Amino acid sequence: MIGVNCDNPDSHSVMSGLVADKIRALNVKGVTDIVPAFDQIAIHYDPIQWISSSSETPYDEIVGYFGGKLSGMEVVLDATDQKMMRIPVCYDQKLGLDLEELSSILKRSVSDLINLHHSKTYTVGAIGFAPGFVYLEGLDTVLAVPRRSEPRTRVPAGSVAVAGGYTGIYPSVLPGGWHILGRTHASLFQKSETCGALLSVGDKVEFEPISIGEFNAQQSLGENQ
Amino acid sequence: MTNKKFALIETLNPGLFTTIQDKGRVGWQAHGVSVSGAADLNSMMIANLLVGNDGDAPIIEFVMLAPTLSFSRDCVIATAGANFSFTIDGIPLPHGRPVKIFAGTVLKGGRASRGAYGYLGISGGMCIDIVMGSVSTDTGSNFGGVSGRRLKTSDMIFFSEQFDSLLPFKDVESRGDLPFISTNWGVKSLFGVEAHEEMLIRFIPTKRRDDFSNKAREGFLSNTYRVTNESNRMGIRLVGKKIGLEQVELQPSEPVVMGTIQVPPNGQPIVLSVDRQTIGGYPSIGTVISVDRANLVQTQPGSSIRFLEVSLADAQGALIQENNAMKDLFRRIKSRVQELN
Repeated sequence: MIGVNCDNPDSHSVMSGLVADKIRALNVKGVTDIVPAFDQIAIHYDPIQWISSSSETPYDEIVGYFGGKLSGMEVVLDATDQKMMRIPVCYDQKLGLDLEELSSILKRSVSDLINLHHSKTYTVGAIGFAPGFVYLEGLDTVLAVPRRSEPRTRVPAGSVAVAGGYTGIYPSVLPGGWHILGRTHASLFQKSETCGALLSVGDKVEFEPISIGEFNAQQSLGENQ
Repeated sequence: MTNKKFALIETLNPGLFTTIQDKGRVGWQAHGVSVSGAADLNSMMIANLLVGNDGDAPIIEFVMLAPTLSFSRDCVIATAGANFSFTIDGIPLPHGRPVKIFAGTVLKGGRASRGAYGYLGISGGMCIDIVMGSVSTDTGSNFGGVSGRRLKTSDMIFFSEQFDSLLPFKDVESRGDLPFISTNWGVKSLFGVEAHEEMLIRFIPTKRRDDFSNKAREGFLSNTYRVTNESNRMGIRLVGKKIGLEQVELQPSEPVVMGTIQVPPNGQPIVLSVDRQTIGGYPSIGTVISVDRANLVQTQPGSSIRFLEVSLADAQGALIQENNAMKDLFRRIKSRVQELN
């Protein structure tokens, strides 16, 4: 694994997402996985394919190769090629299982918390923990609470939650300790050869509040398809 | 008429944690998908090659306690990795050799000795759906293998319908009174430490040195760590001298690999294994070198590990050496197996 550091602190996740795409497009031999996460990119590679006749190690060889390729490469932050995803979320308390508890911990009204959550634009910082699980950056500091002391064994699929300064979406039923604010029908991961995760590191995300009526209507729509 | 429809392997007893694996789900980590795959890749390759398959064909992997399986057709099988004392009709099955078995055979598995992970290769292969480029079972995300989970009693696995060229099993003496026929040659185990023996595991240090004090590093190097029975395909959990962290607040998660040595706040290291997540938040003191992967995963709970720091150049040098030795071994297995066609 090789580390690549991205130095722009305001938009490091956007940068690492873009640079990861550029590296992917190089189609370098022996490279199996390119994994951006916040200000880093991991390049997983097979050293056996980078054995050289010189005394250089495979690591030196591939780092040298990337150095040459990336130094001449321009990565321009262009707002137009950023993906913006609007995700409908129902913040009804039947689905936002921890709204009431958070409201009493933070001494803010439930509607305050909901407003603080959906008024921000977020950036996908990393994908991990489970297939398609996104760590979204840009959470209001008021909502930066630690994990629940007692994690749930089954968090419902689509739960939109906060913990550790991030907000995230559970793509499937999973154990988890984040505080649940609402739920979405958006499908964040599909196990097919062409799909995978809906979002990539660096993508922008906004949450669009919907009523429980709209949420249920979307559900039955999904079931009819 | 052939009974293809009924050509299957039935699980009579699933063992402790038996799954279908191959070399892993490569290329999907950016989507948050674990790599999975056989914990001990070399043993997987050997078991497959011994039965004339491609090295990374779907294989049955078992941990600590092997399954008992029945076979509805003739085929050639081979075990590699830890020795699980398989028997057929009470007669021990030779380990690390191609063995021809006959329709109706019940293969009974036992407990692991000299290692923790075992592999069963089956000639002609098995019919397992490919999910994102791999048949590997990811029990965390419930995909791959048989319904995305470990095998359970009464599971049926279909033989692949591809031509099984190994069935003639030429140049091997008739079975006499035995319920199977085996070659008189095989592959020796590549590793092997009994529980309670000490295993030396080499690692390269992390670049982020300031997460740990020099004293914490020295403590990590000079003490032994015991493998606990909470170890699994996610990680090898160790207990020993507590490794102190310079700061306790969580860092942003960063990408991890097979062999990443994580230090959670309790100071007891976890070495990440095949079913690891793609990123991790705990500080890492180093990474176990690829060559020591088999030794690491094959340590049984109760065994002790001592860590030895090496340079990245030494790690890659050892990997190149091992790769050459393996290529040679694989070539020799292939040529011996060809004589059986």
